[in-house]
Amino acid sequence: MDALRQYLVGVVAVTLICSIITQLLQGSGCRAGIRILCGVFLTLVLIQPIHTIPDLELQSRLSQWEDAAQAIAEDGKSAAQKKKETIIKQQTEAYIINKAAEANAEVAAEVTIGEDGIPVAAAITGSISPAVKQQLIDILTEELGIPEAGLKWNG
Amino acid sequence: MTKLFVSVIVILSLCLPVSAVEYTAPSVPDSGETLMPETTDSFLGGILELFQKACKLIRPDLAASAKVCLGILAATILTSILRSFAGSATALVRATGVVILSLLLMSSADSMIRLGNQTIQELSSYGQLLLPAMTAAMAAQGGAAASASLYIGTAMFDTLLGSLIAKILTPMVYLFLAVGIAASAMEDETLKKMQDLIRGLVGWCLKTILIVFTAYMGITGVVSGTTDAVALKATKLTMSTVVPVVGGILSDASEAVLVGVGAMKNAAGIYGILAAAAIFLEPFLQIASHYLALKLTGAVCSVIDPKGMDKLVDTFSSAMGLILAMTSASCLLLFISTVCFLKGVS
Repeated sequence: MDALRQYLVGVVAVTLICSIITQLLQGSGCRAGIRILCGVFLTLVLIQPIHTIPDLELQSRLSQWEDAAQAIAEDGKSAAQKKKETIIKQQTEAYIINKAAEANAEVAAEVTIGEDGIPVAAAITGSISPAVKQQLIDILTEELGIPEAGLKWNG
Repeated sequence: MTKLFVSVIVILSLCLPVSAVEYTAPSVPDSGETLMPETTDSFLGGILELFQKACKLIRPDLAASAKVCLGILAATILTSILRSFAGSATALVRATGVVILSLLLMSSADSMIRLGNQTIQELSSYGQLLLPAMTAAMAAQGGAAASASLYIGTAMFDTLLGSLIAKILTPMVYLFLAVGIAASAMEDETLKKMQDLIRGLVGWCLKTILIVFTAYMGITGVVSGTTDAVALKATKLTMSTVVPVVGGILSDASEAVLVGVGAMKNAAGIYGILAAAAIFLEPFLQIASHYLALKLTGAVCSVIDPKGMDKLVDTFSSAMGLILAMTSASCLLLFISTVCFLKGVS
């Protein structure tokens, strides 16, 4: 970047110097020759340092941006997943309580959500008859897909 | 009674809003606070409020620009009169006039260049805060690949444009002014051509960066968006294979999250655009009023003193034009990237 700036300053400085020289030589016989020399000099200055213009170090920064982008996107994804799991947990628990209420039982439910957001275990608290318990087991395993081994009964 | 109570709780729990994580735009910095609309619910309403506030704020700047222009006109008239009596010392009078006018114009031009640069830095800083919020929100909506690509593109082009403006283009504007002053003093064609070259180079750099950036964002949005769309379809397919009741719950939860995050992302995007406009608008109008005042003065000068000081005034107005272009390019970059994030996953 600095080299590019130096290059541009150099070009402008040479142009200014050439202009001043040609102004000073106004009316002189050698003005035409000096103008040609100034033109050649300016051309050389213009084309000489082009190959030395450095890159903007974007390549080295690219990996940093990639890492940052991945981290932010992962954060966003995991936050959304957590939100989703919270809703699934709430809705599943509400579903269990509702089904128990339909069978005239009053229970509290605590559902555990697996990695895919699918319920994998449930803890049911409340005094219920064996018949209602069996009815709830059927609902939990068949409708909610929770394996029987993942069910815990309290009270 | 118990059944009713349980049913109410069940219904309420099913209607629970989604608000675990917030995707909000960073609050507007102090520089944009005066112009920031009070409500950002409506984009059009916000823009109108912004313009109304900006128009009220710009009046003192117009008066300041008018004062500078009156000074320029007075100096031009004086130089023109002196030149008509100068005889053989016309060139000397002309050079003196150029120096006096340059001194008159330089302080205001310098403050405008600094103002433009400061605005560009503030826009860049705000963009760096807004960008992660938009990226996270888009990733939460299922556009992880697209959001990461858009983030990388915006960060890269913002750095590129910021570095170019700070390290090359701004010094080039000063060089443009120096060459312009020398060209006016000496009436040299080579210097005028060099001045045109500098102006062309600055304009070309800005245009190229914006075109490449827009193309990158467009292509990335399509390519990465397709990847995300495929991933979303796969997730939906997985949902449909699980037990119906759970599948329904999963589908509802996904929909609720998507809708919730989408609403938050939209609000953050609109707020972000309005905040960027609030940061940008006041300095833009200040520089623009200075630019237009100089253009007008240049036109009047060309009537008073043809082939005289009008070229110098035009040089300064062109420099203001370059600063306007740089500031606008920086703001446009932020707008384009925010809109790309708002567009989201197709």
